[in-house]
Amino acid sequence: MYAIVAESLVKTYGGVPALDGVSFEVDRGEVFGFLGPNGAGKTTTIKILTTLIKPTAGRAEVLGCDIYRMGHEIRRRIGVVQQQESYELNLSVEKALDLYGFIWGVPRSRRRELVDELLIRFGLSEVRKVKAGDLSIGMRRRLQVAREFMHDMELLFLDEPTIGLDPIVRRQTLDFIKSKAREGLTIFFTTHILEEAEYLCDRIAMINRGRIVVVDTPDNLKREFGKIRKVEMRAKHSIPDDFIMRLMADSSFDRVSRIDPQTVSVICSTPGEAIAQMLRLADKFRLEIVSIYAAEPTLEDVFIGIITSDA
Amino acid sequence: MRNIFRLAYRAFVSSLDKPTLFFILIFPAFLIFVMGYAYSGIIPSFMLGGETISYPVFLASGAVTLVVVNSGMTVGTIIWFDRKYGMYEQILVGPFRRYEYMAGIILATILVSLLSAGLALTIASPVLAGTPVTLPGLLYAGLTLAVGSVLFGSLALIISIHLRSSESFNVVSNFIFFTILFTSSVFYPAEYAPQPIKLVAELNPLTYLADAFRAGLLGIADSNILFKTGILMAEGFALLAVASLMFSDIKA
Ligand SMILES: Nc1ncnc2c1ncn2[C@@H]1O[C@H](COP(=O)(O)OP(=O)(O)O)[C@@H](O)[C@H]1O
Ligand SMILES: [Mg+2]
Repeated sequence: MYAIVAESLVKTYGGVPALDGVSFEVDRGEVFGFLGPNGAGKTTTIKILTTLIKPTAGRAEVLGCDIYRMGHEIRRRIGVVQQQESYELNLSVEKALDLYGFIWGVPRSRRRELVDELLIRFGLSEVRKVKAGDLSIGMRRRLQVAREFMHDMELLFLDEPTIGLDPIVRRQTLDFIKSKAREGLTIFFTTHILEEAEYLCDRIAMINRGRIVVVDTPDNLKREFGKIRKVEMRAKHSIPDDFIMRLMADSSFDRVSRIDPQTVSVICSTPGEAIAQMLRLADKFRLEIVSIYAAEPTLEDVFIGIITSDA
Repeated sequence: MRNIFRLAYRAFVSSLDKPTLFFILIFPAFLIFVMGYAYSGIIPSFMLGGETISYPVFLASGAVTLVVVNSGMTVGTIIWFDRKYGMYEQILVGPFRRYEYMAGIILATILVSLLSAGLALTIASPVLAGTPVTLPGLLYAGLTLAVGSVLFGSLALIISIHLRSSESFNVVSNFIFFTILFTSSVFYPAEYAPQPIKLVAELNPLTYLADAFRAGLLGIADSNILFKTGILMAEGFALLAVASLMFSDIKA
């Protein structure tokens, strides 16, 4: 039985699609990652699955419950760390943890144990008496993530839980989440950071502009798309349109784009060939090259590469 | 039902810290001990519902109802803070139904109002000593406070929902608070006020709350008291209905 089944989810805002037919399944016990750039539709997907908003079309089941009819049942059995901050200005860190456990109906003795454990695990012991409103953003984020572990759940949604955290704390947080996954918790995790998804997830769905581009294990994705590079060339004078057209005509390049009049970039998995080709053309057009180099692609470049090679 | 109590307790704890409780009580305390006596030199005892009443006693009993307005504003506006600081959406993805969140706030408003009114009454007890308090009268007074707290809690909800993203939220709620206070019968009996003020006072729910509470507490035989209580209840119900409608219209 699946923990999550989503079928053709669509969400439009004023006619503009934020989600454009998203389908996937998450197994019980799996850590499933939603990886995509800002605005891809990650938060919208989580809001739909946690029954905060309704999709424009499509259907979904969470823990076997229909999101339209059984929202309350779903919400009783999940945990959610939203992307947006949430805290109570006047409550101290330990009071905030305790009160959150209280509204979830966790017995007092269990709450006391959990508060003590989470304060330590999330490095919040020193600020336990500090009011949430007086914490740094990073500390507040830690409190928010820690707080969600005050209650039991079968499935945890984490919407970019590491934003605002410095690298060491980020790693500690991911490790804590990983330990929970090993204990059998199913996790739906979003991020725009490739390494995080790789580190944590059993499977990754790459999402861009409201569509899932590919779903696979981190290993397979790396094998398939790890070769993608971005080659950028800068000329002394503006590059003629013909030059660009010639590059575009080469089908082994996934995407050719003009960055500014003197700069062109190529996304491809054969950077050596791209450089050779650019040098040949520059010679032909008598273009003076200022710089030319191949770089690790950004996540966005990879998406563009995948989408263009799909089309 | 358990969820409503839990959320009420949360609203109670997260909106009522010691400084806030102090703020709720300090203003009425000044009215009771400073204003009442300061004016007693120029304001003689007067007739109210067939009884003679001194100004300090009149003002002290009115000041107790003022804490209800203050408590309602304090607890009812929690929704504004919850939405601004993300707790509203966080609670909505928890094991709750939407109406339970609002019911929790209303319940917390009643609890905080009765608690702080009890404290205010204790503070006022030296002034009120000597007035014949009866148990039915006290119960009646408590009931009007509960109705009043629902009313002012709803009013605070309405303001909070309406001014969701407005930085003028504080200005507006303070303005409304002072308008309600100074055009009510907390400071003066509405029937003695000049026509325009009297008119406003007679629209003001705090007038009915103060009158009904005084009647119950001090045992004043005001022949209009059931009518006034009825208006208070009707206004409370109307504001609660408006607040509920506005609340159910909020898009997450
Ligand atoms: N309430 C809203 N009103 C209008 N547009 C929205 C709203 N919420 C999200 N969007 C749009 O939907 C798209 C997807 O947003 P989101 O799901 O937040 O992306 P992500 O979480 O991947 O960054 C974005 O283009 C965003 O601007
Ligand atoms: Mg997002």
